[in-house]
Amino acid sequence: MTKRFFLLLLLLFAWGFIDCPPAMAHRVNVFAWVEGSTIYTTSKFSGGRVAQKSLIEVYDSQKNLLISGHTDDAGAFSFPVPKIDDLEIVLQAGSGHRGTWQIKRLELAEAQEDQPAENREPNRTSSKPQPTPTTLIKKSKPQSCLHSSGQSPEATIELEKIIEEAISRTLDRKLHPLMTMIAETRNPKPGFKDILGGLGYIFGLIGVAAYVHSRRKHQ
Amino acid sequence: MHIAEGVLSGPVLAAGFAITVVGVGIGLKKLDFEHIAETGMMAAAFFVASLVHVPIGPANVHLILNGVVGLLLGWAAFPAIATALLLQAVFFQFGGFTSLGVNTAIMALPAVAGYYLFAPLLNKSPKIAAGAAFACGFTAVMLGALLLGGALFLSDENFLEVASIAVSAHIPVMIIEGFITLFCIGFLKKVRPEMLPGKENSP
Repeated sequence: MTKRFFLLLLLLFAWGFIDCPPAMAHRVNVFAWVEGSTIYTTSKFSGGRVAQKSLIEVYDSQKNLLISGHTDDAGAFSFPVPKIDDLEIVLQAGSGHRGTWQIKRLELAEAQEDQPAENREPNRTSSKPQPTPTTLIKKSKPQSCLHSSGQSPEATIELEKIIEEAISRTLDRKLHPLMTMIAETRNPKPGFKDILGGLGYIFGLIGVAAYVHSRRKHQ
Repeated sequence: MHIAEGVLSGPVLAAGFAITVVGVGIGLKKLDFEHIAETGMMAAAFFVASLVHVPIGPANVHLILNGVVGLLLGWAAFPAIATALLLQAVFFQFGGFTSLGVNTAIMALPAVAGYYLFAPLLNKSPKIAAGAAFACGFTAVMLGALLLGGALFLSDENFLEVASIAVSAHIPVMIIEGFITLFCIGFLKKVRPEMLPGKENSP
């Protein structure tokens, strides 16, 4: 091949690098995480565009469909934990685009344990009277005093529950933006190494083919 | 134009592999020593082309280059495209291993069709040759989009809907690839006319 043809290929190659960052898609990624009793998902094409109005289906380990719904304009979709099981979240973004994400049973079990029974409803900001800091103090004060003087174990467990609940609620609130950020940055795309690696393979294969041919010629 | 794993039904995947195996077989049989380097280079171009995203319109589409690959390689487009797609699946996670056969068929069949339809016209007058080159790049993408729609249809989706989405999403790519094919062929005609089909003994 001439030098010029190489140059042409090189130009094409360069164009790929200049042009590829904004968006390229042959993949669609779905990322899901658990917060309390809700599972949040975000869906994106590899390149950054969000997958809007795309179908999300949630399956259990027996491949039964539990929940289905569509992503919103920001590519997000959330739902209450339907079942403590290994869940598979499948995103169907049309035209053969499909992405999956697994949530392990353990992850759900831990998240559910963090949440006391009365808090398992999907809506965490319910009108139910939440223990306010003052009630907490009221409760904890006598308990902490009594603890040394033989507080009943039930009360200690109760107190632990309240504290745990409060901490996990606060953590959920604080971690939500963080998890969203992680979801947004989680967007694997081909790097320089992948591209060079692939090209290397192709040129290697040319070599192998040429070798096989030349051996045949000699024989 | 890469169909992911788990989208298509078993028979469609199997049919895709069958077509690909036959196509690759024919391609390798027709591939002679002189064309190995050319085939490899077109495979490399195809491999990289999928990273060139066309940011026009609402859909996520990329260059395919199956028109040029087909026009220059004929049946050898099958091994070239199959190799490139395999490497894209490995390195970029585009498409998938189970859908490799279908994806190869979707992109390589139009390439071969483009070769048979348009390669004979390349030796005609410059105007006809230019038109044929553009048309080859254009129709190869369009046929690919139709095959994509067909594959999805056979796996339970509404054909008219998916096919029209696939075709309309690829219109910018069709036009761009038409021009790319036109320039490539024009360029090769000037500097390496022996690379073009019809100027040689076998495809």
